[in-house]
Amino acid sequence: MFSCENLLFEEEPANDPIGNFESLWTTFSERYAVFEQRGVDWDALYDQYRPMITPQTSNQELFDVITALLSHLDDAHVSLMADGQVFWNGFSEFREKTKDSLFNLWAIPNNYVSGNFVNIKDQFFYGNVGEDIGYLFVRHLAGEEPQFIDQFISEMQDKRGIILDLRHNGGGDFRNGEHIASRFTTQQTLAFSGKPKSGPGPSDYEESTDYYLQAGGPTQFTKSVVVLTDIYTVSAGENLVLYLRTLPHVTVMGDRTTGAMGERIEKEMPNGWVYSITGQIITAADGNIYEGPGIPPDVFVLNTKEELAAGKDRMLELAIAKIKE
Amino acid sequence: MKIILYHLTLTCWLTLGFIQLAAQSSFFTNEKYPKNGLEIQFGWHWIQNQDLVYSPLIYKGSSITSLALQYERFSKKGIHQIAIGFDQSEAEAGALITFTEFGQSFSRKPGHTRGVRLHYGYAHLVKSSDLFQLYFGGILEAQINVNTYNFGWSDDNGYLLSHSLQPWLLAQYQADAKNRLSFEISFPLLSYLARPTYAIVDNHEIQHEGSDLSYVYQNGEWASLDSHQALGFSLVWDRRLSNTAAFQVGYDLSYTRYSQPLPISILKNKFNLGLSFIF
Repeated sequence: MFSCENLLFEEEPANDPIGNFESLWTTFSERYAVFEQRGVDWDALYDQYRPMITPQTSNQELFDVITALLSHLDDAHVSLMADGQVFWNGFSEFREKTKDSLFNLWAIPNNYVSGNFVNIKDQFFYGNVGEDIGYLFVRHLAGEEPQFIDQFISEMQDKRGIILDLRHNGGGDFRNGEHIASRFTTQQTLAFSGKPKSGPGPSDYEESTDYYLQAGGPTQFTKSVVVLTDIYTVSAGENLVLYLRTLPHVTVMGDRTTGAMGERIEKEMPNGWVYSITGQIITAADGNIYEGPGIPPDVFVLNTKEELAAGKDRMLELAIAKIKE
Repeated sequence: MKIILYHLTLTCWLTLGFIQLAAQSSFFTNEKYPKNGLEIQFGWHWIQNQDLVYSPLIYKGSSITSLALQYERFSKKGIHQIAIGFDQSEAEAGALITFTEFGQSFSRKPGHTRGVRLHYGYAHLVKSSDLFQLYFGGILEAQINVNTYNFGWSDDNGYLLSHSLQPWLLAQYQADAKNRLSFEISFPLLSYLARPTYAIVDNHEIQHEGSDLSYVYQNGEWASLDSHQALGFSLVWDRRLSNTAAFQVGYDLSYTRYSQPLPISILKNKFNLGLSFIF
């Protein structure tokens, strides 16, 4: 009367090493949306890794095997939070950080900004570079709707261009990116489409939903805009790039982005560990899927450590030159 | 998704209040003349729920948070009943982990479950004797259960919103002048339910599809008996205190299972104490 779990509920996966591995592998198999885009044969990886798990596998060994398995996806929206462990991210560059030192926000106000460098909640920073070019850095897109943007756009109306710096942008809320992008257009344009996984089969996806950018706010800025990206521009930051790159007055410069645009969805294992998957395919307005390879810039340019240490941000300087053309 | 659930929960709270259905009849329904009955109850409940859209694990929790309000209108031929109910508790599926990120330690928090239920029912007297009354009728019920899962970076809110038409059987046995035992059972025959989709993607909201109750209803569907099973069961002992009041001790069980897009199962066991009045 009081429980009858076996009769009233679905069978829970076993909370032992094999049960935990099987639960994670099966959920990925049924719910992860971008195996094909990432060139991964998930069934073959099962055959490779499952034999490593036995009833005697320790928690550390289980963690090591699972992270080795997930590393094949090389997906920033794949992660593992295990008891007593450091948060593990599935994108190799996020772990190895080989290009992390090629961007230094403070090199910009120290060497390029004239006048005030406004700090909004340590999330948005803006000012003027050169004589008549606006600059806006967006650290991430989480949290509340960015109300400051309309004042920023208003202040920039007399500038010949704006540099929108999305380097090292950590993502967040898609809607905040749309909110910002809407201030850079006066027309409606298709930005991207999304197809969430709708069932356990490899071909089970919902119909595509189109996402449009349309004008927002009291004023918009439609003069020259350069968007700066690097390999750490991720998730909602990449969606913001997809919104903006469709606009004729926008040029994207820098490095390719992370390549993790589909929705990040968290799941749990029987032992309480939490992992995340990508549950959606995003297709850009140009018909390409940049999940995995990342969004390529219109102009490819990288900083060097030596130049940055000397206060020179090559990517920013090229953006300034582009606006002055 | 969070905004949907915030609006939904707030709407339910403001509209429906803080009360929980116990579906327990008044002690005085066998009186000769039509009467009004009012029951106020509170209780301890134990809940188990499993929502495969979010987790394969069964979440369990208990608390003393149930408040109940029920109004009945009696006639020679039957009973009209309006009831409203609420329950909530923390819920866990197992040990909670602690992990490190950016040099800081983070721990998972327990989940949370809340339920609000509103019903209108009418049962017709089909058999009556000095010791025994049997009623048969129907219930129109609206119910929402909201389960919050606290994972690592986010808290995800799952919900099951249902509207159902149910046959309702009520039996009362008068043991003596002061004691009565009541039994009720109901189950849905026709239901309209709304659930999250297979993959939760927040950017539906970007296209301004809405984030309130209307959005939830738009994404609901009629359920077949194959996809939706539920049962409501109640056993109550009434102890008469005076001509106008009675003390109640009761047990309620409710179970619901819906299999689209993935199975969700919710089982609630409730033990209630209450007072009923007629006027």
